[in-house]
Amino acid sequence: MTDPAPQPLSRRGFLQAAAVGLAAVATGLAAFMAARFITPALPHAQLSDFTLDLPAAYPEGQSFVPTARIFIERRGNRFRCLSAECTHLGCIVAWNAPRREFDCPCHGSVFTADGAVLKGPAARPLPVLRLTRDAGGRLLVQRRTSVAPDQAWITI
Amino acid sequence: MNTITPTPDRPRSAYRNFYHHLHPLRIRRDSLRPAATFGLGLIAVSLVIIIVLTGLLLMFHYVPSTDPTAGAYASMQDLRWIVPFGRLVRAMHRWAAHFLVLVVVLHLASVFLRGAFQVPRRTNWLCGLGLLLLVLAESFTGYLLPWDQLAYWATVVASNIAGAVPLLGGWLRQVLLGGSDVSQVTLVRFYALHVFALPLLMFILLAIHLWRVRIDGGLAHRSENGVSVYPSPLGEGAAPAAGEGLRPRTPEPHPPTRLSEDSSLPTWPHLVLREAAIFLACLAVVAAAALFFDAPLGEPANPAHAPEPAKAAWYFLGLQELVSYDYGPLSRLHWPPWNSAGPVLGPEFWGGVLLPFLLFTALCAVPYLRAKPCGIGIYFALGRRWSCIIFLAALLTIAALTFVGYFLRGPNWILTWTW
Amino acid sequence: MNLDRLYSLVAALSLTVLAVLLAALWTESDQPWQWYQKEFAARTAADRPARLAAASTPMARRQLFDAIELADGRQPALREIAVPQLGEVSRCVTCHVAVTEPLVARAEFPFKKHPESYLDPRWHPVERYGCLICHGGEGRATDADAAHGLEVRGATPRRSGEYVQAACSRCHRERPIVAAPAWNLGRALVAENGCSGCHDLGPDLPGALTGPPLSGLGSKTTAAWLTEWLRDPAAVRPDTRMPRTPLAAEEIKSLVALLSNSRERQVDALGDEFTSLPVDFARRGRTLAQQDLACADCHDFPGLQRPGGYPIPGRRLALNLAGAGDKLTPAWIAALLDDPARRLPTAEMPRYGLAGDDRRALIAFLAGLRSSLKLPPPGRQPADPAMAPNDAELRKGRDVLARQGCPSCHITGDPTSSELRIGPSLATVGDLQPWQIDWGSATVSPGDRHLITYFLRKLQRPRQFHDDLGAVNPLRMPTFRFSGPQSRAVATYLLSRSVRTVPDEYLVPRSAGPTAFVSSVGESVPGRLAPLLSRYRCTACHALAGQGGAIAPALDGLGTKLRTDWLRDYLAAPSPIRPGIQVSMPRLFLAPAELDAIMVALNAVADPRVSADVPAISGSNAMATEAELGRKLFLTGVGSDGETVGVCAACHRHGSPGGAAGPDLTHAAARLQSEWVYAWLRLGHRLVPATRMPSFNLSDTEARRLAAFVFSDLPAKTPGQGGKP
Repeated sequence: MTDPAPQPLSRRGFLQAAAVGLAAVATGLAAFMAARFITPALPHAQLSDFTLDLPAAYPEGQSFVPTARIFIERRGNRFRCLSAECTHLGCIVAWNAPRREFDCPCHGSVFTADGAVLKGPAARPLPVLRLTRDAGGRLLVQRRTSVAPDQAWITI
Repeated sequence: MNTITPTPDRPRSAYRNFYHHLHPLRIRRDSLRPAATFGLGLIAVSLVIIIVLTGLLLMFHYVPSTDPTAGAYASMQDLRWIVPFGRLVRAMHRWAAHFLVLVVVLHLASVFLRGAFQVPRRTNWLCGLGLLLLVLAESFTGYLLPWDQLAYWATVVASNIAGAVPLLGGWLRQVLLGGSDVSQVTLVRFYALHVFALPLLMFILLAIHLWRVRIDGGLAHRSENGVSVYPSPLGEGAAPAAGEGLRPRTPEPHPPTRLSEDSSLPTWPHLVLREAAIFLACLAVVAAAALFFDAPLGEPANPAHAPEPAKAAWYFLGLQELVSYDYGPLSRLHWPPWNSAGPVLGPEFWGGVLLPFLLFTALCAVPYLRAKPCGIGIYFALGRRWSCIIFLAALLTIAALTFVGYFLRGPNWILTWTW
Repeated sequence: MNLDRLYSLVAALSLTVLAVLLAALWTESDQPWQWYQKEFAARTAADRPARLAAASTPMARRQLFDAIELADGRQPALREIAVPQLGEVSRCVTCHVAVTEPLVARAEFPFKKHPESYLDPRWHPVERYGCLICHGGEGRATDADAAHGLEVRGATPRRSGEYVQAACSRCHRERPIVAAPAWNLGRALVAENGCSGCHDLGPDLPGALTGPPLSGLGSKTTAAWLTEWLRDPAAVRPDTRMPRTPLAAEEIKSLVALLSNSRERQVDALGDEFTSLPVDFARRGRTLAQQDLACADCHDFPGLQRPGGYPIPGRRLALNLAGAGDKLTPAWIAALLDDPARRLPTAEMPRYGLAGDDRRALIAFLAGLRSSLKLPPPGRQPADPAMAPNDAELRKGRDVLARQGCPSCHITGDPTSSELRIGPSLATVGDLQPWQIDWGSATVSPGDRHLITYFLRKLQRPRQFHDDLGAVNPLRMPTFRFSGPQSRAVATYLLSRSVRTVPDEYLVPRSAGPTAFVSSVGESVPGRLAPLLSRYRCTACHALAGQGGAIAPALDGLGTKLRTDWLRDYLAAPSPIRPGIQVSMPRLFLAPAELDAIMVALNAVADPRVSADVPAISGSNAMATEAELGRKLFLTGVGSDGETVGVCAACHRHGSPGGAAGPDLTHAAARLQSEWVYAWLRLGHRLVPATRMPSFNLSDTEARRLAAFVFSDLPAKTPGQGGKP
């Protein structure tokens, strides 16, 4: 018992500490509840799958699909889907047909037609998204599922 | 002229300044008695704080739009069903608002019956009446925001009462509604009024109201009776210099109080602890009420169908009673009176505009009707007994009208005896 | 109060606030949807990767992902389907976690899969339709009672069972609607009971005269029969459609006087020819009715039972002829057989080419059908001027006629009668909110105060909501005799009467088939066919160019479907083709010249979608191989790419074995044209919208092989099984 003897807590001091402490705990709980209150309850309300048109609706080359924020590339009867969101800060890249590259209007990132980074500030390539067909033959893209570049193309 | 010089201990000094703007150094023991004011002013301030905090939270979710799927009504539904504690916060906001209306009316009654509206507190009485109007206006504008049936039809009715004001009525109604009907524009206007314009005015008036309490020498006290000079702005019981008027003059930041040691207590901690207790009690009551009694949400607003019965909030039911009476020959008068082709002054004018206006004017005029203060700080002072009786009679009449409107009006506003 | 007590007070109040906040926290974290999700995650714990691979819809995949995350320790989360096009948000999937895939075996609510295949991505992908468009309820709510519309005022109560079908007609414009049997039945009942005569039901069912004309009733029947009839139609003929109208005896008397006063000279002119016929004529007439005329397919007869139920569920095609001899004068029966369109313009009665003794025999048979009512026989009743009622009596009769709304269903032939609808409009009745329903003096428990209950009670006893206002404006709705399922079907149809609309992209158009191509056939064909069609009343049962009845197959494109030689034999002596068919084609006693004319005309009614330039189906050796492959497909249902498309033999037989739900195809080659079969297999519903056969989305190759098989002589025994030839 080398510790100095604890100061005897006066009755007044205890009541003071209890009042302040309990009030602080209540305030803390209220603050936590307020934080829960302002946190969205449905952050991922939308489905991540998008049903697109029939393959025939997409012309040769790149087509931008605004609803899904993706590019569909068609070569003959082969299709591929690239996310159109820049991996830097999320702007929508634009297809530069003459130079065959994706340009980001916000901070100047440039990607190849395969999504690889040509020029920063973006560090990661544009994700290749999984493309399938639904029961009606329409294209179906899974926005949250990316695939390896060598599995990018599907043949219709 | 003295100015406040910054001290080295700046944050502490800033806090002290804030504290001392709201509180004197000492407070009369007598004023701390629960029965002195029943703490009604403090309760009202506590409720305002609760309303502001919950209102701020609600603004994170509320969308002032009439869109049925993404607008005001949908955000009410989301608060009810998916937002964590959404029901609690909304119901707390609502219950606190209801309590506030009740408490400010009781506060007014207490001040009146104690004679605390007399010199030197005449200005603060007017200030308080202004706050009463603002509280009612806040309640009224907030009532529309859920965009349900009750909200919609209460606004339709109230805007038509506003339209019955002579000369200005049509304009007033158009400005309120932003057109000729209750619509999206109305909702945005009411929202702007509810969350910004009216609160701003309210804070200005509330700041003046609280500050004037100090300027006017704290709470009204019987010791003021017979004092020929008014208490000093510097503290309760301090004698002011002649010709001071009502302007504050603080010769030094923390003027010494002249209250005697045995008749007074330091405000810290005696007053502050009571304030904390009152705030916590209000919070507990409001939160518990919100937990057990959900704020109702009716059907979505439907301009094609008035609900059955279409009742205003309880604090406007007296008014709704008044506008539903037959005013006999008065109802056949025209405006202007000499022009028989002009519009008829119906019950919405007599009951909805003129009577409330006269009542409010009378309340404003009360401090100026008697030259010499009488019975300051004394409930039902003998010298003011007639004014007290008239006041109570008026208050009871309003309460009775509210009771009739709330309990005895059935479908189609027909008088029914429900038990 | 001393400071210690003040501090204690503040501490105690802080504790109170804390307690209230904790109570709120506890309430918030203990909600049923969270239990459901945890339970669901626990139940789907096994073999998730396999389930995920098998999940066929985005919704099912998402739910499985969520279940995995949940099982991995994440908190339950709310979920919703937002359908901005419909302005709807459905949070139903927060609890109903497995709507699109049966993720849990033998699941109960709310883990059940949605029944039937309504949510198949081909029909109603849940992302596009949400839940509310069919089920109502409050999609934003997350507790069961509120979500099911049971506690929120203004929300439509959730619809379940057959009432869901009230939503089908919001998008579907085809009639009948595939897979909405209750709605179809309700619509048929509403139509044939003449509801739209008194009530406006919107453009879907314009007003129709469903009863026989009232003019010339004096020549058709007797006053005695009419009196019995008006007192209570069901007592005279238990299965009649005529509702019981609330009439006083005095009113019935005036009405009978008015109705019997109207005579038809043409009928009276047929005279006494039929009053005394040889006794054996009646027996001969019975044989005729039983065999050639197929009368019992539409009429009920004493001693002449029909084989099955009714052709359209719950719907009787024609009168019960029991007691016809009590009611009808022989002269009127003769007039009816000679020209059914004129006597009964709203009935589907065909015209037969009967003459001479055949005609007399049939009349003798019908006039001899007496009932137990012991009414005087309706012999020839001469118009007796002395018996004619006076003007006051007639006026009273006209008043009753107009007040009770008789002209809503019957042509009165009385120029003074009004044809205004006497009932309130029901065109938007499905939108009524519970508070808009006037229950009158009826006692209804608060939980029952919704629209469906109102419909059911009103249909059961129409005047039960009569209150004090009744004296001024009496409720005149007659009493119908609907069974329970019929009432629910009618309620389903009424619920669908709504102004609520869907975006145009959701509309399923009326089949563009027949009307689109018949105009391309040329004016001459309908022109040549028209007199014959109207003479024999073909369009009472068959539709042509979108006009006509729905009792029998449409005549459009018959020239490219049927073989001429077969059709000629069939018309001369019809024999049933489809199994289980309720109304068979009667023998019409056509004259040979008429038969020729019909053959020529029908041959010209071609369907351009059945193109002649398909490869020859039979004959060549290559086709024999194709036919062999077709047989495999027919029996096994395995398509060219190895996927199962459907086993034809489950319903059809070609030779043997096979099912009996569809037509026997053994002799199809003699009846059908191969090009049509090929087109039919490829197009399915698109070629014949009303067919019961499912569409299999066959490829061209598969369709060709099957057609080749149908037209081949190959017996349909399973290879290697050695069935009987």
